[in-house]
Amino acid sequence: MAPSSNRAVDINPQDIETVTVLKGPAAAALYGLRAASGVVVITTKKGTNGKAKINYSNSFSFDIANRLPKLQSVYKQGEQGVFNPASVGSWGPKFDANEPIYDNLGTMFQTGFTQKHDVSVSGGSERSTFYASASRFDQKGIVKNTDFVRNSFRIAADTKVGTRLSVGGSASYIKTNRAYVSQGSANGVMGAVYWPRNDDMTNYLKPDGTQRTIAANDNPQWSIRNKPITDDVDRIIAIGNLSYDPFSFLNITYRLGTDYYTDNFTSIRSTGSMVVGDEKGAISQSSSNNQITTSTLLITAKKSFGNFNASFTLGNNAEDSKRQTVTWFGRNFIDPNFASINNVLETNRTVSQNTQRRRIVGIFGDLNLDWKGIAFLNFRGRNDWSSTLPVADQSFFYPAISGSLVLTDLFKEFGTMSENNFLSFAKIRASWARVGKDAPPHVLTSTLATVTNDFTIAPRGFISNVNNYFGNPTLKPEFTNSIEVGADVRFLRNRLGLDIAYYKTSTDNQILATRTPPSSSTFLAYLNGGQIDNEGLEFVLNVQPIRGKFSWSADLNFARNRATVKALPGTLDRVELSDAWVAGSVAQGAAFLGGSLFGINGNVWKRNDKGQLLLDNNGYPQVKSTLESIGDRAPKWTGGLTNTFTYNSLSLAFMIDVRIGGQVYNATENSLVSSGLSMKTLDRGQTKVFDGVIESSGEANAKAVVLDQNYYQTLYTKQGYDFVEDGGWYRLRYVTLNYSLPKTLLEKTPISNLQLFATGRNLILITNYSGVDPEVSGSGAGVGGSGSFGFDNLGIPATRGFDFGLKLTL
Amino acid sequence: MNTYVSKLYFLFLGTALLTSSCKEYLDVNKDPNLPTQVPAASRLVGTITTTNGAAMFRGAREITGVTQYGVTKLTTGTNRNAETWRFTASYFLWQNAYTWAIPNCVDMALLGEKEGSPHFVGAGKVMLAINYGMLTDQYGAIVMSEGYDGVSQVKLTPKMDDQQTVYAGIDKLLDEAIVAFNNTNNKTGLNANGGDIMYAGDVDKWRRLAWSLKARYLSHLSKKGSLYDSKKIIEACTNGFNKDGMDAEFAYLASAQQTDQNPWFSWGGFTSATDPRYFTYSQFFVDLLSKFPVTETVFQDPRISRIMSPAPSDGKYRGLKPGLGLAGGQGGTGQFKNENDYGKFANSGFYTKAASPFPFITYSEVKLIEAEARLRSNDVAGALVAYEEGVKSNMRKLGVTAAEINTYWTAQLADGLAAHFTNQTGGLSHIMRQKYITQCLNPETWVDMRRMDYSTDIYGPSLQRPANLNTVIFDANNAKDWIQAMVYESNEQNRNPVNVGDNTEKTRLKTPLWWNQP
Repeated sequence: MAPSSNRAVDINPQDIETVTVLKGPAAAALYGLRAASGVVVITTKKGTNGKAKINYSNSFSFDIANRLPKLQSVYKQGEQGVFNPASVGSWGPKFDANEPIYDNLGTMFQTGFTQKHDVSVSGGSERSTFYASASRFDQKGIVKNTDFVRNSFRIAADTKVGTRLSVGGSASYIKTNRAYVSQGSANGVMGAVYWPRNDDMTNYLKPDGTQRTIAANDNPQWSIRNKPITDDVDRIIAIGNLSYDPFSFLNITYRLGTDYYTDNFTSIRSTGSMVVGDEKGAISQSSSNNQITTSTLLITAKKSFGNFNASFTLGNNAEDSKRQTVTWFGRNFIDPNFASINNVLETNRTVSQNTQRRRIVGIFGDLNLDWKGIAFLNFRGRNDWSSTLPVADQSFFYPAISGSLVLTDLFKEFGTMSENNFLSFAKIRASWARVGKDAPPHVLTSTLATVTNDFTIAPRGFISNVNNYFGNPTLKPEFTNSIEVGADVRFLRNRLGLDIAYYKTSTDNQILATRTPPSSSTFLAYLNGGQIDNEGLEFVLNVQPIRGKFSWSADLNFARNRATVKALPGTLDRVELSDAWVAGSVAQGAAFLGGSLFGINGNVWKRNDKGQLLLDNNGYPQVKSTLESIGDRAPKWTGGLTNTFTYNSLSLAFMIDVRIGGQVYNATENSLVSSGLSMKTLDRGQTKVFDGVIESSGEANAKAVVLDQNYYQTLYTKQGYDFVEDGGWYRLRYVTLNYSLPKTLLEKTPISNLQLFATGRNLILITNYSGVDPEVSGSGAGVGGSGSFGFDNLGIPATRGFDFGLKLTL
Repeated sequence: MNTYVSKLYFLFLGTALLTSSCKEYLDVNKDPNLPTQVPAASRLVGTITTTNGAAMFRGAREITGVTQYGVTKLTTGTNRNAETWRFTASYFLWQNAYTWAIPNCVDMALLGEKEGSPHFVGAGKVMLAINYGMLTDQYGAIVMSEGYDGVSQVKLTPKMDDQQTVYAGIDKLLDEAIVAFNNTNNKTGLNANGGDIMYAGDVDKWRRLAWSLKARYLSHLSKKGSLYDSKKIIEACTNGFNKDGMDAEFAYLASAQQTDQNPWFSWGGFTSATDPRYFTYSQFFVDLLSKFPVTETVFQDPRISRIMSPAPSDGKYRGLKPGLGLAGGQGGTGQFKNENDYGKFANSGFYTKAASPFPFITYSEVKLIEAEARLRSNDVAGALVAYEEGVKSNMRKLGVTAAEINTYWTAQLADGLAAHFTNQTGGLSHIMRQKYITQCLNPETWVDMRRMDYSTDIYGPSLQRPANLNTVIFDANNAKDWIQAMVYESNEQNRNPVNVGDNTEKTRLKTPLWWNQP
C-alpha cells in the first residue's frame, strides 16, 4: 500500500513568496532540533500596499506514462511449456500465428489531465496590507481512479498600531482529497506484469458480474475499480504575530501559530477479492487529528559602533505536537455491495487508538557582527529540552559559528584593488555548527498490547508488543557536527558567476532504528551509536553571454554527496531499512558499515573465495543464504543545465538534467522473470554451462543445464545481483515558452499584465535502465518514503507531459 | 521609559516561568496508548494463546505437510512447498516463538516471583519449556541462555546453545516449575483474572503438565544410550496426566473475530476456496486409520469419522499423495480426481472446526510415551497396559462409543497385538502409529518420525517420500534421504550471522539433530 503523501503538498505554491533551503545544521540554532538535517523555509506572501491588484493564473496539463517495461510476446500462458488456462505464468507454448497478443500493461494507463486555477487579491495602505487567495488543483492520474484535488483559501493581513506596534496574522484552510489504488504487488496497478498476454485482462468481470481473474491474485483491472483507497485532509493553519519596537534599537516579536489537520483514510476491498481473509469484503479506515502549536519570542537589539554593527537576538521557543489516530478494520460485509464498517458484524471489527505527544522547549541566542558590510561574524547557541528523552538527558546545548568576508569590498577598502572589468564580486564564507536531536516519542519503555496480526491468534489479553520498538531507557540525544566553506565569485560585470560550496557533516551517537534478530525477542530497537558522515560539493555556474534586447543566460549546477556509515551500534554491520523491502524479499535498502547509507542488501549466488560460482551436483548455481551489499542507490553526481533565451517579451527556457550513477533495483523485472514475461526469459529451453566449480567435488563444471521455468523461478529470481541496474540518466526535464503580451495591446483592457506559457516535460530521456523511468521510489513515483528511492517495485511509473496556461493581473 | 522597562521585565519573567515549569511541561513521554506492565494474572491468557496460536501453530503449519497429515490441491503455487520439502530461510516458527510467545512466558515468571505468586512462575516456565522444546526439535541449536530475560537491554547477537544444553535447560525449567507449583505460599491464584483457559486455576493439573512434558523430552533421547532413562520417563509419566480431561488445550472461539477461531479452520490459510493450505488428508493417514499395524489387516478405525469427512460423492474416505495434488488422484494412483471424491481438510472433524482445541500434549500421548519406555525396558505387559489406555483415552476424547471401542480393541487383540509387542519393532510400530493418530497435526509427530528414521517397518508401506520432491537438496534416488531439520529464518541469519553459521538448505534440511544421531 502506498504511504500517504508528504503534507507539503497542502501548501498552495502560488501563496509562496520565497523558498529558502538552509542546508545542514547551521540553521538549527534558530529553527530548533527539527532542523538538524537542514530546513526548507517557506515564506508565504503578504499583501503589498498600493492599489488592490488581482492576479489570476491557470494551467492545464496532460500526462502519459513516460516509459513502460518491454514484455515478451513469444510464449503464452502455461507451465513447463504446456498451455494451462489456470496458470498465472507465461511459461506455456509459443503463440500461434495470428493469435491475439494483448497489451495488458498498456491498457492500465490513460492520459492524465490536470488543471490548476489560482486567484489572489492584494493591496493595502501605508498602515495596513492584506492578501487573499484561493486555488484549485484537480488532477486525474494516468491510472483510472488515481485523483488528487486540492482546494485552498488563505487570508493574511498586517496593520500598524501607532508607531511602535504592528499586528498581523494569517489563516489558511486547505482541503485535499486523494484517491489512489494499490501499487507494488501482483494485485496492484502493475500486476499486469504477471498477466499472460493471450488473455485480455480488461475482461475483468464474469457474466454474473463477479471478478474474472487467474489464480490467487486480483485482476488489476478489477482492483483499480473495486479496491479504492482515499485519503482526505482538512487543514487549518493560523498564525498571529506581534512586533513591538520599544526603542529604536530594540524589537520584540512574538508569534503564535498552530497547524491543525484531520486526515481520514479509507481502504476498501470489495466483496469478491482474492485477498486471503478479505474474500467477503473488507474495510480499513483511520482518522487522525494532528496539531502542532508553536510559540516563539524574539528579542532583538541592534546597535552600531562606528564601522561596526551588532545585533543580538534572544529567543524562546516552545513547540507542542500531538497526533491522535484511531484505526478500525472490518471484514465480511453483510450486504456484499455496501462498503461500510457498519455493514460488518461486531465480531468482525477491530479498533485501536494511537496517540503521540512531543514537547520541546528551547532558548537561544544569536549574535551578528559586521564591519562595514565587508566582514560578517555570527555566533549562535541553543539549549533544547525535549520530552522524548530520559529525564536526565532531556537538556542539550549546541553552538554554531559562521563568518563571511566580501573580498572585493575589502580590497577596495584597503585600496589594493580598483574598479575593474574582470572581477566584479568575491565573497568567501565558512561555518561550523553542531546540533542535537531527540528521540521519537514514547520509545523509552517496552509496551504491552492485546493484538497480533491477521496470521496469528488473537491473544485475549496483554502480551509483549512486537509491533513496537524494544524500550530503551538509556537513549541519549544525538549530535550532528558540520563544517561548510564556500565562495561566491562573479566576473566580467557579473556576466560570469560561480557559487561553490563544500560541506562535511558527521553525526555522533546517532539514534538508529535498528532491525534486530528475532531471537532478541523483538524486530526493532532504537539504539545510540551510529555515525554517518556526509560529504559533498556543490556549485552553480551562471553565464550571461548575451545581454540586451536578445539575451541568453545559462545556469550549470552540479551536486555530489557521499553518505558513509562510519559506525553502527554493537557489532552490527548493516542497518536494514524496513520500508524498503521489495518483491520476493530478494533485496532491500540497507546502510552498510564502511559503505553507503543508501546501499542495497540482497541475495547473491554462492561463490568461493576466488569469486567462482559454487554449483550444485547438477551444475546449477545456488543462492547464498546470507545477504550482501549488491548496489549503491546514491548517484555519483547530479547536474543540470538551464538555458534561457529572451527576446522582448518572448522567452524560451529548457533544462537538461543529468544523474550519473545511482543504481536502481529492478524488482519489476524480477517479477517479470518470475511470470515468464521478461525478455530475459526468451532463452528458455536453451542450455548453459555455468562457469564455476561443483561445490561437492571441487571440480570445474562441465555440465550443461537447461534454462527452464524452474531455473528462472527458483534460482534466477532468488538472487538480486542481476536486477541491479545503472539508474543514471540524461533528460530534457522541461522546455518552456513564455510570452508576455505587449502593454500596448492591453492598454484598453482592465488587464495590466498577461502572460501565456507552454511547457513540455520529460520530452527526452536517455538511460541504460531497462524498465520504467528510473526516477522511482519503492511504492511508485510521486509517493514518499525516502528509504525506498532507487527501488523499482511495481509502482505507477513517472510521467511525461505537456502544460499550457496563462497568468494575468488586473 | 519606565513602563517599557517593566514590560520588558514581565516578558523575561514569563520566559523564566516557562523554563521553571519546563519539567512538568515536558512530562508527556509516558506512552498514552499502552501499558508497560500489568499483573501476572493478566499475562497468563496471552502466554497460553500465543504459545499455541503463534508459536505452535506456526511450527505445525508446514510440518503438517512434512508429516503427511494434510495435502494440497494444486501442483502450482507456494502451498505445496512444505509437503515437497522446499524449505528456505523464510520458514517462520523461529520469529513467532521468539517474539510473540517467549517474552510473555518470561515476563509472567518474573512477575510471579515479584508478586509472591510462584504458581505464575511455574506456568511461565512450563510454557517457556514448550516453546524452547518446539524450537530445538525443529532447529537443533537455538538461542536459550542468551534469550530474552525480561531485565537486560536488547541483545543484538545472542549466541546459540547446542541441543544437548537446551535439553538440559528444558528439563531444568520443568523441574523449577514443579517446585514452584509445589509451593503453597502463593498469593494470587492462576485463574484470578480468568486467564487460566486451560485448567481454571487447578495447580495439580499444571504440575501434571510439567511432568508430562518432562516425559516427552526425556523420551526423545531414545538414540542417546544412557541418556534415555526408562525409569525416569515412567516416573514422569506416573506424575503426569493420569486420567481423561487433563489435556493441555483450550477451545478456540467459534463466533468471535477470525483470529479467535482455530487456525486450521480459517486464518491459517484455509479461507481460500480455490487453494486452501491443505485440501484434504493424505492417503497415508487414511491408511493408518484403515489398517492395523504390523499385519496391515484392513480394519476401519472408528476415529476416522471423527477426524475426517467422507467424500461427498460416495461417502468413502480417501486421501491424496503429497506432491501430486488432486491431479494425482487417490494416493497418487490417478483414480478419483474429482474434488468431491475427498472430504475436506478444514472444517471436517475433531481437529479443524472453528472451536477445535489444538492440544500441546495429551493424556493419550503420555500413556503412549510410557508404553514406549516400558517396551524399551522389556516390560511388555506394562507396555501393553499403557498402550491400551493411550489408545482408548484418545478414542473416548474423540467421542467414540464404548461399543465401537470394544469392537476395535477385540479386533486388535485378534490381529495378534500381544504377540506384536514381543518384538520391539512390532511394539514400536503400534505405539508410533497410534501416536501419529493421537497427536494429529501436532509437530511432535515429526519428532517421532525422525526418531523412527521414517521407517516403513514402523509406519507401514504407505509411508513414502512425496512426489515432486525438492531434488535440488534431496537425493532423488535415495529413498532413505528424508528431511531432518529446518532452516533458520533469514532475519536471524542476516542479523546474527556468526552465531547462525552454515544455514544452507543442504546442511540444515539434511543434518540429523543431536538426539537423532547415535
